[in-house]
Amino acid sequence: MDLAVFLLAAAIAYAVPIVYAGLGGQISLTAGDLNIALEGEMLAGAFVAVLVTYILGSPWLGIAVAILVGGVLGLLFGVMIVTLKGDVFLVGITYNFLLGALTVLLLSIIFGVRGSFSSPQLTGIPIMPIGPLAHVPLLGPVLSGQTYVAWLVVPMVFAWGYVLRSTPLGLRLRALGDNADAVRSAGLDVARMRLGVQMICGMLCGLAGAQLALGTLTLFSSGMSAGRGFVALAIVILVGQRPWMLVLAALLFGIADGIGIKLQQADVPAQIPQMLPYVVTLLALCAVSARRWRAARRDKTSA
Amino acid sequence: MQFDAMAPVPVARRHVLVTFAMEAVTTFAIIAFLGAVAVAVMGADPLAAAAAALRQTLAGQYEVAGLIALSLPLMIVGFAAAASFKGGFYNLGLEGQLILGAAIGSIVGAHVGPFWSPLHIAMVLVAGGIAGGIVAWALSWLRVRFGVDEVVSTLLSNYIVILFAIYLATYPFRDPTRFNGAMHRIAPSARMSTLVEGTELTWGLAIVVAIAAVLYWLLHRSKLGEDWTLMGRSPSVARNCGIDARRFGMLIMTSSGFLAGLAGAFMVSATQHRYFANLGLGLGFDGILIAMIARYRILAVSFWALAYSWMLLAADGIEQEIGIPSEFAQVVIAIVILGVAVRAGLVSWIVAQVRHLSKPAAPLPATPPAPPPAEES
Amino acid sequence: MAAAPAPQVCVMLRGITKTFGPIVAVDGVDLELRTGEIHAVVGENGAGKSTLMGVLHGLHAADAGEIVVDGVTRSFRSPREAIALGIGMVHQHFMLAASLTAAENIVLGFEPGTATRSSLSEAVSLGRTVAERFDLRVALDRPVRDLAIGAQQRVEVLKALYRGARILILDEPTAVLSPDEVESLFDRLRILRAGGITIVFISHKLREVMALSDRVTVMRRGRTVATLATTETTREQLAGLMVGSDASTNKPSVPKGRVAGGSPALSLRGIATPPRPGNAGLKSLDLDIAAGEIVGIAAIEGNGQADLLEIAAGVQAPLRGTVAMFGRDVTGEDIGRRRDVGLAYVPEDRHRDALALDATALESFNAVRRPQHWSDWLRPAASRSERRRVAELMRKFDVRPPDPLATCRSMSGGNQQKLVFAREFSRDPKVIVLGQPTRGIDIGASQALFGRIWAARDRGAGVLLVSADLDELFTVADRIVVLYEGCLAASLDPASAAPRDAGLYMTGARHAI
Repeated sequence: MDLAVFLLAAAIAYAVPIVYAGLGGQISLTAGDLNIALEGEMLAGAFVAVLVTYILGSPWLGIAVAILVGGVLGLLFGVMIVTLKGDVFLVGITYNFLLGALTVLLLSIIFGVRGSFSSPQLTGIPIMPIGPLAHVPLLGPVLSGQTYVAWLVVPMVFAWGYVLRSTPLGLRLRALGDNADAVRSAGLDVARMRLGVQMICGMLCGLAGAQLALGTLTLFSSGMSAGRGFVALAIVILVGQRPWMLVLAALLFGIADGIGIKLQQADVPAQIPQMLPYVVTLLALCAVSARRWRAARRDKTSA
Repeated sequence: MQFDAMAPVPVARRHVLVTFAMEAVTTFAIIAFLGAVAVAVMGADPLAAAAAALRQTLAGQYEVAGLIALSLPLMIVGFAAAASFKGGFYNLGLEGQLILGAAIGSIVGAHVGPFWSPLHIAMVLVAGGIAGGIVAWALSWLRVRFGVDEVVSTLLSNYIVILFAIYLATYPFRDPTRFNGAMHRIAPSARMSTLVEGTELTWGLAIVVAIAAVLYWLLHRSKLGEDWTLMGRSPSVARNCGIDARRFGMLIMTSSGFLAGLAGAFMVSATQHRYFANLGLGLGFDGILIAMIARYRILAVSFWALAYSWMLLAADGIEQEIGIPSEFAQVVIAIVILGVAVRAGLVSWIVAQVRHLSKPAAPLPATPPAPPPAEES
Repeated sequence: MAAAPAPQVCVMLRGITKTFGPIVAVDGVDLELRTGEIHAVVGENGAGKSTLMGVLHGLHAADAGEIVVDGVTRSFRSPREAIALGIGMVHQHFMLAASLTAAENIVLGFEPGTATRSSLSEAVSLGRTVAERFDLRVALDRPVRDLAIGAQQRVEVLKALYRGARILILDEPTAVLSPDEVESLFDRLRILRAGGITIVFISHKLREVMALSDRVTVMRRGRTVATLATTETTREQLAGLMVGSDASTNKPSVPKGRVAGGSPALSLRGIATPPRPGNAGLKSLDLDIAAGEIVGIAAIEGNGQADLLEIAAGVQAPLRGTVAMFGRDVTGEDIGRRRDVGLAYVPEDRHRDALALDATALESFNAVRRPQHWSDWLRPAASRSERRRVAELMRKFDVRPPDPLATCRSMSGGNQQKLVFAREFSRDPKVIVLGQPTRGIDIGASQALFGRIWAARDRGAGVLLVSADLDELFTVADRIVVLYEGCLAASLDPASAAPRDAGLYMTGARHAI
């Protein structure tokens, strides 16, 4: 029982930032752009959230500014790949590098520290009270410790699922990722749509970063996104356009991470369990790719 | 549309070296300018910073030797990135391949031998290269066999491979006299001998020069390089021209991984003399940036690896003397490389804007296709 | 069929000029469309038809000139503005999102319902109303990728009508259709005309223009040469106006090849490939091509001809069956090995499969040179003498500019294809496999390429020619083989048979073998 509670709680803690970044990635991929800058945008969001919360004392302002900055960064990324037609991978790699270096530089200039920053003045995102639900066995202990931002995942995923399936906007996004010329010939501004998508993707990454830095822990450390953006990207490739599958996959990788932490406590060499989420992601990627590959080879000329 | 009737426009072709020199000087000038602006923004005197930078890096033979020593592994990993990107594969797992190469090289240096020194050094380097090559080969196999996109798989592989290397250093091959996560020191016969006394510059310089020369021939001059480039431009054209695109693609990825692993083993044999947990972190991505700014040309990679090392050392010098955090250099470099990555689009966008302003009534023409990247020939 | 008794002009184009960089695509063109007519616009490739229609549809903004719709001067900045005025376009390459349903494609950009809730059921019923009115039935709730080409085209037409098009521009609508589908398209266009829709029909197939249109505008080199009532002109006159002389179209009399004895140049036995959606694959196909013979393959897209090309060239391995060149089994050999024993291959899709646009002409030539020994990989890629040889070949094949260091991107489509021919034909090939060799290439360049094919045939090469253009097949080939559903449907002699006969076999209406 305790183990189950621990694993689920750890899974949620691991999954929430990944789901937000993944939503951004999913929107971006639906519109046809595989965005590898999730990692850097998330890191920037974490830094901004910590910075603003520390200075202004309110995690809510921290989150708001992180979302804002994320949106600006996303838009900038969009300008580079859409307006200036840069290669999405090359720009993405460099952008991650830039944001990584920039956070370290600003950490050093503003707080005078290298590596990581934490302070008692830094308040985390408040935990949402869940009333009588807290007494339900298993679910109670798992759900009672979650922040408002973690709970926000549920309406967000509902909303995105609805937008994707049932609104003109969702239809246009799906058409954009499928054949941009179809959208262009309908007289819609493809470039503006892609820019908007990148901006929203950046905002979601900002939120993901805020939860990462102010959710379970309250600190910023350099490179703290630690590949979560890449894991989110891999998950997006795995689940395609299904929002709830994104949540489910993120939770599964969260459980793998939780098992890793438990194994570490059980005297297994620390690195092996730490690998677990990445290994699971890679294996899942192979399995899904293999299935799609076979299907594609069945119905397409051998390309 | 009378394309056919257009007379061939005579284009004056400048010598490649002239072109490259102009390009390098311009890029470097932009970096220096942005760096000066950054220093000024942070409230210091750019001239003082420049003086500090020069003092720390070019004052005497020790400084210069140190600079060259730092650049050598960066060159090799830059070659690794250039090789894969030129061939159309995004090997973003260079970081992991380099670190695994360092770990395996370190094991071979410490636990195998000692032998006659050149042989032992060669064994260390080749073992590291093979380790990196195997990782890249496996990922390329997944790509060819299952269609696993190599961008994501190589990115994820970094975390797995690096953790594995740290595991090796923490448990089976740990040097108990050292704090956590360091391997045994390699045998003296596995270490490269020093070229300039009192510095870290070793005879490894000759090895890197030889690698550069061979790669230059293979990738830019030979038939192999021509097919390699064709793979990067269009795998389907390559296939229709009789190239076995799957096997060739695996060759491209594996060579790139081999070079990355070699770079890691080189660090162990030349300067570090053992693998430890933080060795090589970030170097893989440095190599990718260097290859990008050099636009995948081998000789340009050599130049930019040297320039990149200079910038890192200069930034350290500025930090020591003036107190500006050295990361500002990386920020400046990243901004310039972003500029390089969007260069073609930026130019045509500016041209379009200018035309728009000068002729407000006329609508914008479609943006012309991006000019192809220049090739060393 | 004459135009309506009281012709009412709905669109006037006056002095339209459009340049792309240094190229004047459309040069001071006037065009007048009357309500309820079918107006054909004909011209060679590159005559400016598509650009002109792009201007009318708001895709390109004109540099000069004016567009008058219903007596009001307009300027469009995007297709949306043209759509708002009732001008719709059906592109040659369909602008459809393959994973979305037909109904979703139809309403895309003009969704019924509100911003927060699109009503797809409403879309389907709206689509159905339009479809029934004009007899354009399609499965509205199926993903477009599952629909046949003809049905996809109907989706495109429905899309334009749903958006309120009164003027419908069709860009080479018959290029992708079977003769049967062409007839049914024409019937539907006549129904649309009866419903008051103005139709602009872009084509270079004069037979179809004569059969369908009320008036014809001929374009040449970016200018309008003439606008004529269809009843008052002839095919010969139109052809003369198109190419700029009174010479008849492209029917030079060429001696047919003599089939030499001995083993066939190319022999396919029992070839099978897996069927896929939209592609029948091949079903145990036997085909022999003699030395000195040109065999033309006539088939509607997706009946196995793409597989046939790749199997013959060695790019794809067959599921079953053998391939032999001059009696030598080459089934297990890839295209590189086959090239060494005398194969030449011109793929269907030039940009995807034949030339890398960023490569120079010299590199494109070298690309097909396969090293025989590992040491060949290390040799220098291009020597000075190699460069001279390539320059000479480029001059010989009239590739402009004849500069071995020019990139393929800097060449026009015709010159790119000449470059491919120069590469493939310069090695004195014995077996030549050609996919759509003149697609997107003007008549002059096509004639030159035909000359190359005949010359190689006369030197004893066996030629496999796949083309979607029946007139081309009947002009070039010595024997025409029709493929239907991956099987041989007929073998015709172009001297005695007519394209119409081939059409019957291509659609499965008749079966001879």
